[in-house]
Amino acid sequence: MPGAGFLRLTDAIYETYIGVSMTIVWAGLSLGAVYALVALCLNITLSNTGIFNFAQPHFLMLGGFVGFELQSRWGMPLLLILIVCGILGGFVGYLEERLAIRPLGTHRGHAVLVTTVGFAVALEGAIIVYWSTDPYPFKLMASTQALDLLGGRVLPVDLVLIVLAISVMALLVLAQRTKWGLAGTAATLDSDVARLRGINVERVTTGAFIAAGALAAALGPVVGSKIGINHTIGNNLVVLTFAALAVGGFGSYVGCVLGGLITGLLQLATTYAFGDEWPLIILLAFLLAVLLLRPTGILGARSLRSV
Amino acid sequence: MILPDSTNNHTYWKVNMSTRNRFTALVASAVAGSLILAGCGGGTGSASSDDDTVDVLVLTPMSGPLVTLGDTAIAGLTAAAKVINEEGGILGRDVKLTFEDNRFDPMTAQNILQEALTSDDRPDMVFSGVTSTETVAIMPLLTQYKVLSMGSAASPLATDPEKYPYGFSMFPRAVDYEGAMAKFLSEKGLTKVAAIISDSETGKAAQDALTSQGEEYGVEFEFEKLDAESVDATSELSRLMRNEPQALLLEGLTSGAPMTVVLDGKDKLGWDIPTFFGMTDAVSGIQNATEEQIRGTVLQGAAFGIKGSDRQQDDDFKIFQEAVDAELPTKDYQLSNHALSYSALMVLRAGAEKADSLEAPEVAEAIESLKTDEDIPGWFQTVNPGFADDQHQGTWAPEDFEFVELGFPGYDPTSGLYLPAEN
Amino acid sequence: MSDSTSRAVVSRPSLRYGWIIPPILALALIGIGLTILGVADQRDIQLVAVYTLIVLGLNLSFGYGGELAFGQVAIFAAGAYSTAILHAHGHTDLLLAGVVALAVAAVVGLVSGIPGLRLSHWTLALTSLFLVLVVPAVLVIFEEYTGGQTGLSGVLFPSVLGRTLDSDDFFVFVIATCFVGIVCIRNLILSHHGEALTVLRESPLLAESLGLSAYRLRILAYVVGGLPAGVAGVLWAYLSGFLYPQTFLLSTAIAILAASVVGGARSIYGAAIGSALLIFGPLQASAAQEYSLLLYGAFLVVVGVAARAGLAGLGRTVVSRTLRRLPVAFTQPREALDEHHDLSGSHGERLVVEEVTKSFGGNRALQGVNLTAEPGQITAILGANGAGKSTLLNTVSCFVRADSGRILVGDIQIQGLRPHRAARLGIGRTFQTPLIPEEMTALEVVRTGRLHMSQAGPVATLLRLPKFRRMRRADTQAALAALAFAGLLEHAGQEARSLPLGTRRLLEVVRAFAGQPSVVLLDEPAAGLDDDGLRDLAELLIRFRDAGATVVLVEHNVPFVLGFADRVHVMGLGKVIASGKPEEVRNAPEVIASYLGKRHSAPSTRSTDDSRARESDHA
Repeated sequence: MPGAGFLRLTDAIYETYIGVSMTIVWAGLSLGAVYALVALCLNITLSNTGIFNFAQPHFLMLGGFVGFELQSRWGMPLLLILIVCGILGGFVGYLEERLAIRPLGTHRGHAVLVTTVGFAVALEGAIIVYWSTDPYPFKLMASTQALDLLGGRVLPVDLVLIVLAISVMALLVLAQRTKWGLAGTAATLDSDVARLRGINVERVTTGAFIAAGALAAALGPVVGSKIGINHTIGNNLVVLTFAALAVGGFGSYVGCVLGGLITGLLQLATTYAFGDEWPLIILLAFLLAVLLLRPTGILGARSLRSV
Repeated sequence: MILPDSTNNHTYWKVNMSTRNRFTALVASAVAGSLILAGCGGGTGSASSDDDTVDVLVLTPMSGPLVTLGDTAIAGLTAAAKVINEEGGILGRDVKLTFEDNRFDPMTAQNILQEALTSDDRPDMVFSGVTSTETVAIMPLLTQYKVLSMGSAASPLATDPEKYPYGFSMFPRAVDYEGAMAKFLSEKGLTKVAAIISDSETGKAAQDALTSQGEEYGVEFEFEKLDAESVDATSELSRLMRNEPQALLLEGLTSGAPMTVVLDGKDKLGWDIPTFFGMTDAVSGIQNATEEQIRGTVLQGAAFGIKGSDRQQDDDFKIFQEAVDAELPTKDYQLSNHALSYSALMVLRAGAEKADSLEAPEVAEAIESLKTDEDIPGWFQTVNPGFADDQHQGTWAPEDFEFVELGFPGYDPTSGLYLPAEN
Repeated sequence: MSDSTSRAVVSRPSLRYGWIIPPILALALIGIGLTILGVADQRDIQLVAVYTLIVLGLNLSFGYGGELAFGQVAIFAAGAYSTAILHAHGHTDLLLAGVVALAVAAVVGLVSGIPGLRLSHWTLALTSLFLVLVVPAVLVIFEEYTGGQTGLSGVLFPSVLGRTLDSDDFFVFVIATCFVGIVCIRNLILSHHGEALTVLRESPLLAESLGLSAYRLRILAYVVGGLPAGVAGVLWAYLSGFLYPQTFLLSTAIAILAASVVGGARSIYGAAIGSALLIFGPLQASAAQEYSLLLYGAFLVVVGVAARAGLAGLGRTVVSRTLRRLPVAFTQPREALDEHHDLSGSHGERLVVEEVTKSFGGNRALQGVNLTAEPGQITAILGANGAGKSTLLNTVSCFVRADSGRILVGDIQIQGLRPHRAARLGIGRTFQTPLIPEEMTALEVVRTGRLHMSQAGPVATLLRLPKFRRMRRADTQAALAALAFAGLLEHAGQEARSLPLGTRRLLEVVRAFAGQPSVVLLDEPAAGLDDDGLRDLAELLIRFRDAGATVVLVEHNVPFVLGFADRVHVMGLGKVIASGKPEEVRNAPEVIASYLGKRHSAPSTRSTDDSRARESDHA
């Protein structure tokens, strides 16, 4: 029966290629969700104040370490961990704005890159002082039982990340429509004009840093249980998240998620196709192509184009 | 600054952590002082130049990502020094250890060494490091100054007798442990094995050895590298899956994420395949794995490092175990790691006493002739150490390794031994 | 006047013999190094030298060129690996390695600089960080040559011309190389090349208007800024003896940035100060000293906020305050100035605009403009906001490309050229908001107007050959003459940014004329000026006209323009709607409309905002 043989063959192809591919797609999406989440946090300050906060991924790292501490030492429940991390992150965000942003005044130029890099380094330093440079294995969710979904297999934590990225995005898009969000957009477009129209630009800036810090730190434990926690993840995430942001489009929350998912998928797909050395190089080429051909990214706001 | 390290009860030798001398401190404090930021210069450690001790300079990570691996070296060497000193020392002299933090950084290691080698009081031996990265960097200097060195680097680059005639490593040769692995796999009837290896020196050495030994035993290996900072190994594993191998070997996966990432990736892909842990995998990965991930896996270890092995009846092993337990009650690395540095001093003693000298060329030549267990008092790692003039690592026969099915938990941090499944 | 002039000309007495400092320092350091210091200290000083070279390059492109890119780390890696690969093939000569590394550095600098043509600011900075992230992967891919993760070890025993260097020799070599590097970069920065970079940093538009290609300048900055890093790689390879991918990481890039910023990105010796702190001080980015990273981050924040000029800037302020108190002698013969007085603007050519159109999307900004501006006349273009005046000016100066029509300067067609080409063919212009680079004296600002005429090549500049000195003297004298012509000589030595608005506007006009253009286009020069300012401006323009220049100005201030213009064109809706002598157009209804229009819609404020937004886009 050649027909049955053929069916078996297609089954085999499906099993080894399509089935595997869908699993890689899930893995890529979940890695992409990590980039998307970090990009969303970054985009809060970017779209409200025009500042690229180099230290933003380091807030996530801080949240991861604090979450680990709260879980392993005090056995705190998940929700409480996230709340504590959020409050701490908000406070550190406030500190950053007061120490590294506000003193620069309105004409910040390159200084803001230097001070946010400085803040990032200081955060990493503080983490090393308290937690040393050891990597910590960290699992917020114990289950590693993979689920079958849409022809691929996916771990629960990966699925949570993807759902989380989309929910956070939706929340931020809604928040953008509020008075506060509109004020932020105005402040970014032209802080002088915004000020003339009665918008408290300083308060918008402080608010953006607090919100982004709180969100990033609260996400820390969740993301940390996917990527592990050590003192290098801040620096590692910042560049890849920048790529995600650039691809998706600076200033657009939807773009953040889109760019993040594309970056994650591309990274795993190219690993699958070419091996471990190539994904970063291919990503760089892709990033350059996007930036040179479409400097605003796929969904970017023209006003934030800094090219 | 001279700090007696009270935490580990090191009381009778100096722990000299500073690397820079007075001038540096001066410049540093002058510049830093102008910025009202003091408190970070270096101090001076004056090593006393007495000839009644055997001075061993220990370069090992005492900070940074490999600090726990550094701890194994410190514990092993400390234990060995105590044992040797109690047994009368080397050539009648006590062993004195000086610990320096190489920060897992080649440049730092070089700086410390350069300073030590140009001082009035050169060390008699240098413990060159726990990984290839810091070791390879200092081998040329050690050779230039004709100083005996031992370390636990895995890379054959660090132990090429032609390039570095006074350098030895206690780590088994990759061809030995991978040869045993290939032999074992082939005896299991496996001919096509996928290997996921760390993108590092250790991984590279393993890959070369597996390829050559695989040919010998009729096992075909396919490799995928995994970056140390990788957070998802699905793609790498999928690449391996395409050729439908019969088994999966993990090799060189160090602490941190990679081991977990691979095991999670297997789950995700639903890849139910016989899995083997190699000789160079870090134990922390096994500790962090879930029961489902560990059950049924097979691990290669030094025979003496597996609970219930006959090798643990060896008296030398018992002395070693007791001495190391006193130094390090909780072990983040398997006991075979502590044995590497411990054995280094045992080999030094045997070599020096055979040569009746501490001059590097003579001791090195003597070590090259240490062939049997009796030649090295305190040696327990293998049946016969088997050093040779073209081989500055010990010889490990297939019987010196054991392959066991892991239980859960698979590792006991108190004894540092792997725990086999109870059948 | 002679007193104030003297201060002007001898504004920086320290610079003349500044080149003596590095050799003396180098000799002192070598002497101390060989006699007093041990091997480990020698190593540390050599490391400082290596970092100094890298940071110097970063200072050139970041501090002076104004764009932050971390290509240096990749170039450093390329230089080091090329040296180690040469070594592995038996070539241990440092000079050979240096030549190869320079070539490799130029190539990598060129490649890493390409994104900088489209990107700027933090997008460029982060893209270049990505480039650094990729370095280890590239090294692993070329494992056959680079040893992959294993690295290349035993890079020892360098030689120079067949002689093997011992560690003392190598120490001398490293220090000497570093100081040669410092002198080269110093000579480059304190030259027309450095001034061109400063202009670029202020505004690429300004650079283009002065006849400098912003693209070429940027690429030059990346390539030249990469060369020291390539040399540093050579030294590093032999210093460390062992290369492996983990040396070239993001943290390396950040450490270099820290050294640059703390030392002072806009300084030459700051590179050495910052590097010394990196090796000896609290910046030491190693995990061993627990608090070092924390301190070093705090440092970056503090320096970024407080002392933007870095430590070197602090020193410079002290030095310049001291120098200012010293009596200085006037070295410039007055006759030399007088002789140049009538030189400016005597080369006026006729400007002809024929049927020029330009649309932005659906908005037809210019709908067939025709006008002529004659030499020896002041031609004014009036019109309400949105009439197309500024578009016309931008089109004529080629900042905006005309859709159709012709623009002629004398007999030469310039439409469609890049702005710097147009500038070189004789179009000079000013901007609505004065673009005056930071930290430049009025004299230097005016001298930048002659940048496109500065012919001394890089070799003459680096070696300070007579050709270079002659050219600089000529440029300085011409600039002084132009200042004297405008009656601004008393401000020559003052920092131009600190001058009042009226003076800055005059300065811009003088700068535009200093390049001896055929036509000068002035974009609302009267905006924001008080009556005194307006009078001074009008007087200056009249003087230039009388000297034979072709002066074209776009203005809102109708009474001001009608007071002294020779010919007036009124624009409306993208067309010239009225032309003639001032008295002819004074009563034309279109002019009244535009005049009233100005009062109701306050256009000058808005257009200034627009231009500021544009500027910040490019800054």
